[in-house]
Amino acid sequence: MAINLLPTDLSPKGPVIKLAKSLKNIAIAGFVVFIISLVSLIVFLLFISTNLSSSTARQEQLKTSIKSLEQTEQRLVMVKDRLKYTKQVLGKANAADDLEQLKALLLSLPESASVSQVDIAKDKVELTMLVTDSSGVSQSLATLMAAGLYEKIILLSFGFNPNTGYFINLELSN
Amino acid sequence: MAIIKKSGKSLVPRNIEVMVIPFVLITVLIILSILVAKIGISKVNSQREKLAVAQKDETIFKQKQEILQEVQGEVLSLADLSASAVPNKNPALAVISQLKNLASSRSVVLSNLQVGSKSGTEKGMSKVDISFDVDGDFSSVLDFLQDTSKIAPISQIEKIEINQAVGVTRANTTLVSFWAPFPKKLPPLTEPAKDLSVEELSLIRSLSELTPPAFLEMTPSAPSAREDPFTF
Repeated sequence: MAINLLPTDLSPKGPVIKLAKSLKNIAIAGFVVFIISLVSLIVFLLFISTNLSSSTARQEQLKTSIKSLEQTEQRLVMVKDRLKYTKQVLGKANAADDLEQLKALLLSLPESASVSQVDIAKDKVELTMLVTDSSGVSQSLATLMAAGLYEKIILLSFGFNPNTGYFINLELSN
Repeated sequence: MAIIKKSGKSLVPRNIEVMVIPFVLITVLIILSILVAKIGISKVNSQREKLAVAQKDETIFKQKQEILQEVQGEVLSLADLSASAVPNKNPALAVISQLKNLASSRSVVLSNLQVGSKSGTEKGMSKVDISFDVDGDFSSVLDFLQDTSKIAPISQIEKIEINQAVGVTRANTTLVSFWAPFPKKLPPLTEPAKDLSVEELSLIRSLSELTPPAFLEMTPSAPSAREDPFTF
């Protein structure tokens, strides 16, 4: 029969051994998880680094290709720059914009009316007409009104000369 | 162990002694985990950021390359077209040449041509005033004036004073033409390239309808071998 010579108070108690074993197991499991995580992290880093270096290589290739197209880029930039200015200019009011309609209008005036002076600016037209008879005056004004080309028709002056007839000075604007 | 053991007998109670190794292991594990998490995650984050930037740049470069390759064939003619519409130098001479051509095609007489008495700058663009008198019959004069908006370099009529006497019409006209210096530098490489928009394409279409100036630039001819005048 074996006899335990060790004092019973020196040997660790059962629950303590159990706890120690559990802690040891937890530590080992933790190390396993840690190593797996570390390996995953390294693999992930390697994956990102590989992607990064291949992206950098592709970038360099693209840069070389773009460099070879530099002249095209210069021209494209210039075209866009010129178009910006073109848009700016074409956006402005031009005194020649309504010339076609004005021409049609002036040519449709009655025969007794003749245009002696037309001052065309960007925002208004000043028109001086000579009309030989009074019916021509009403016809001319009716033609101007009917054309609907101008929102405002202001009569600046109206006169009569027995030798030449009526003269009408109008300001037409929108 | 020398400290905790004296004359073969441990000074530390056995209960604590069995707990030392697991505690040390767990402590080491925690310290390592914290270190790896701190260093590793920051490294991964910085690499991911770099990768995102690199991929974004790559996409920009790819798109830029595609756009440039796409417009490569036509951009030269577009550049000529747009540069003839808004040149980089004072276009007065070209405009006068255009007006003279226009006058002869419309059978009107051009006189009193004056250039640049009042020039100025506007939103990065310079402008030059060209004034002239045009004589002819009423219809031709108006046609001529209308056609001034169909010439390159693009010009605008500031004002027209038309006087009619004995069947002859005289239009005293002030026309403004524009120019602007060419861009001096290209945008940064990482700036995305923009293809021509629908609006720009329609502007190009309207520019293509303009009559280009008969001369653009006189290029000096290369020196040629001089023939010996004494050889027969």
